[in-house]
Amino acid sequence: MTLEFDHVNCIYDAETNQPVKALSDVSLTIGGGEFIGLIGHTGSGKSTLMQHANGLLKPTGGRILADGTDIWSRDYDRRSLRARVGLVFQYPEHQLFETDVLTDVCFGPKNLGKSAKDAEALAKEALEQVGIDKSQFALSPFELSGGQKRRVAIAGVLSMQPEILILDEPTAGLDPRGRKEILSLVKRLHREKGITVVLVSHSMEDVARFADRILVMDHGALLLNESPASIFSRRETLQQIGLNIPETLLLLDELRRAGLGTDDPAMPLTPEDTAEVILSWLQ
Amino acid sequence: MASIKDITLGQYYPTESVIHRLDPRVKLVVTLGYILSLFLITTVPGYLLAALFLILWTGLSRVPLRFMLRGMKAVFLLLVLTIVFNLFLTPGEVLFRFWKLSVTREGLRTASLMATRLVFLIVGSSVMTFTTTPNHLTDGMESLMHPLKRLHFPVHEIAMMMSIALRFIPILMEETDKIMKAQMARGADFESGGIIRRAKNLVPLLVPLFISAFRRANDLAIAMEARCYRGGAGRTKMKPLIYQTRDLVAYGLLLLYLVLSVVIGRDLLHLQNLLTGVLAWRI
Amino acid sequence: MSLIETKGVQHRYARRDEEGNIIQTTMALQKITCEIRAGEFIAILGHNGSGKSTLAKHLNALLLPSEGAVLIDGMDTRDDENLWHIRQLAGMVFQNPDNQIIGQIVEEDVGFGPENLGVPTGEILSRVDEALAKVDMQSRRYSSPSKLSGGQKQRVSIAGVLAMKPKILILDEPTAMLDPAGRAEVLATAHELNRRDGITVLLITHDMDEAAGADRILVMDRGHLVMSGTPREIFARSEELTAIGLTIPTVTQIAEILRAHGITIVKTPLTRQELTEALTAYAFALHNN
Repeated sequence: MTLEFDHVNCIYDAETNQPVKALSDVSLTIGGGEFIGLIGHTGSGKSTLMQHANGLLKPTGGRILADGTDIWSRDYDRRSLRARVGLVFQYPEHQLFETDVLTDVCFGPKNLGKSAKDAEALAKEALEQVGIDKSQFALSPFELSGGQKRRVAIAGVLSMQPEILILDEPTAGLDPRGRKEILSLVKRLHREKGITVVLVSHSMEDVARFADRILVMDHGALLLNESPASIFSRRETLQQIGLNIPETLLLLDELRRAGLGTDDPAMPLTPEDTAEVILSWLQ
Repeated sequence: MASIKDITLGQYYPTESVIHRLDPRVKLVVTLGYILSLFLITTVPGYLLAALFLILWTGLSRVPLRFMLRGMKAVFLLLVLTIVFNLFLTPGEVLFRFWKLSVTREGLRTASLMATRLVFLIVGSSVMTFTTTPNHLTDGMESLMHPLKRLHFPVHEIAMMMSIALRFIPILMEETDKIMKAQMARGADFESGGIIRRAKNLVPLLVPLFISAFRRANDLAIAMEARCYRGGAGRTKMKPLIYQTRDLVAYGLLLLYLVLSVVIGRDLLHLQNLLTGVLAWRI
Repeated sequence: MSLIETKGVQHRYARRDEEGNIIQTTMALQKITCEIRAGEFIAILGHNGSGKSTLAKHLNALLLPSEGAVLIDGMDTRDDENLWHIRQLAGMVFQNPDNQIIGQIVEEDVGFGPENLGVPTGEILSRVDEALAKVDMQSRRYSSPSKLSGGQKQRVSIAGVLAMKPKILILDEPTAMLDPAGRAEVLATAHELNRRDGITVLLITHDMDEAAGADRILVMDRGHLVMSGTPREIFARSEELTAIGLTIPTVTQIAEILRAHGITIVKTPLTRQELTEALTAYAFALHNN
């Protein structure tokens, strides 16, 4: 499916003397099986944008179209939209509530009106996809480790079979191993299921390696909407709005300044690729 | 969703005014005194006196009238019910009939007096919350209740509990909003269905909320211990309450008002009876 | 004398069933022995569940060792008489800023510690002034904590500890919930307090780049203290670190790959600048041969 934001505005507290413009004239298209990174610092509007995508928030101006239909038109079924545009919030603690893992993951499909049997089948499939072992199905979700809770939370949304999967900061608070595991899980889901993935993060490093396209938000506006390579050629803009630049790129910049590099626009993001560039420069 | 944001408990209106600068204990005593006077007063001149006091009290606070009236919205229904019940259900001399209901002279009188009393009461006591930060209010209560400590009443503990509750209410409100959205993203429905269904639907909201509240409580307890909190004994105050001249003036004015409201506000004949009664009892 | 000393500290967590019978015991800390000198900046590194937070909570007597002893400035944490003095000396800042700020305005929160210690009113105010100045938050003195960014909230929490005049500042994953700007803010504050005011800092983290700035790193794994050394010594042992679920800073990783390809890098680099210098030297030597 395709989701289109058409000049979307969102103003909080409009009636008070301090209105907050959370989204300002945002136009963009999401869909087509892309892997999209959504970057911005805290308060840049990325969370607000995300909550507009599945109709949790209503724009104060502009339209949001799902396959061409305005999701705020009368009689539009926004509940089934929420199944098609799956949204995983940052803290799994905000959604886990059942006594065991499997029942919790069934919650979404059951809400969609699936029978207990179908819901369970969908839940099992989703849990398998996120790498939760059968032996853990009967555990209380509260006994799991941080990384496992996140997997179960993702499965809770996956079980509704979304066509677009939006993940808000799925690695926040995890240790390096946990981060790596969740990121490769997201990458695998994108590849295997062919769904559109939007990864929301304030870390460039997390997003840059996987994304086909990166959206950069600042002060409620969509500042950039381009490929990673083209985003990274604007390092100064990124730094101005307080985003971190991948360490690898900063290193190459420094080597260039020291006269060790050439002007070739290589933009390696992994240590291996970076070492390769440096080796080619040194020869 | 907007409803959660609308609930504000501490409705402090920050500005500079004499009332804002008054000692919280004074404001508490004045508010209690004013409420007391409203129950004492029965005559029209008495109500005029109460109105005068209210105009002075609100005027000096420099809180815009529309903020004061906003507080009335919540009790509007109560106000209407009070008027309707008193208007139609008071027996007495019939003024006119309306369908099957009759309006009596006594009913009209009681309804208007009750309504005035209610409005005065709410506006009068809202001045206190508009001009005093919740923390000052707790400080004031703690200090006023201090004599109760001798009776082993846990004054400090109650004040501490109140200020912690006040601190965490906005945080938990925000959290409720987040959990609600996370569950709605999984197709949860908090809006439709009968009362039992609705109550059942709240489980996915309440379980994560309680777990989070307990975790926060535990974290906070550890953090307080780490900062050497060990109850009220031996504690000092950063900003102890000290009466200023203006506070004493306010107490004086309150006393004057209370005396006047007894003299003007009570039926003098009634008062005389009361006095004779007391005297007779003394003798 | 060292400011902090742990001698064979063990900590057992008991899990109990509903009747209170112990069903499982876990050793969260296993014979931890270490010494920390006054003025050091220490990073305690480890993955989630490695015991690093449990260790931290032993240093201000929030937890007591099941076996062994913890001495803070020579005082044993198991001795009840020392409890409040130890907690005043070793202040602690936790991960979630919202769960540790008690006051409804910034200054109130900073004053909470001194109030508990029974400091006279006049002095509390001057301590609050001083503490807020040290973390550069004077301008938000009368703000409500809810109006602050994550980084600012953590700086307020640090000020709350500073107002108790501690010698030790224990930061238990203070940046885990912050964005990059907030992280940088909190780290800069910690380093500044260490350098300018001589406060001993213990930073608990799983972020390698944060640990790289410390004087010394202690690495924890499954309740054991497995490594202790300067960042350069620690990050040279990348295989061992990877095995316990930790990584090394990106620059150090790149340097390792380059070394494997025969590039001479004498000193393990921790920063971009160090690697640039090493490579400049290498290129220079290459050119002269």
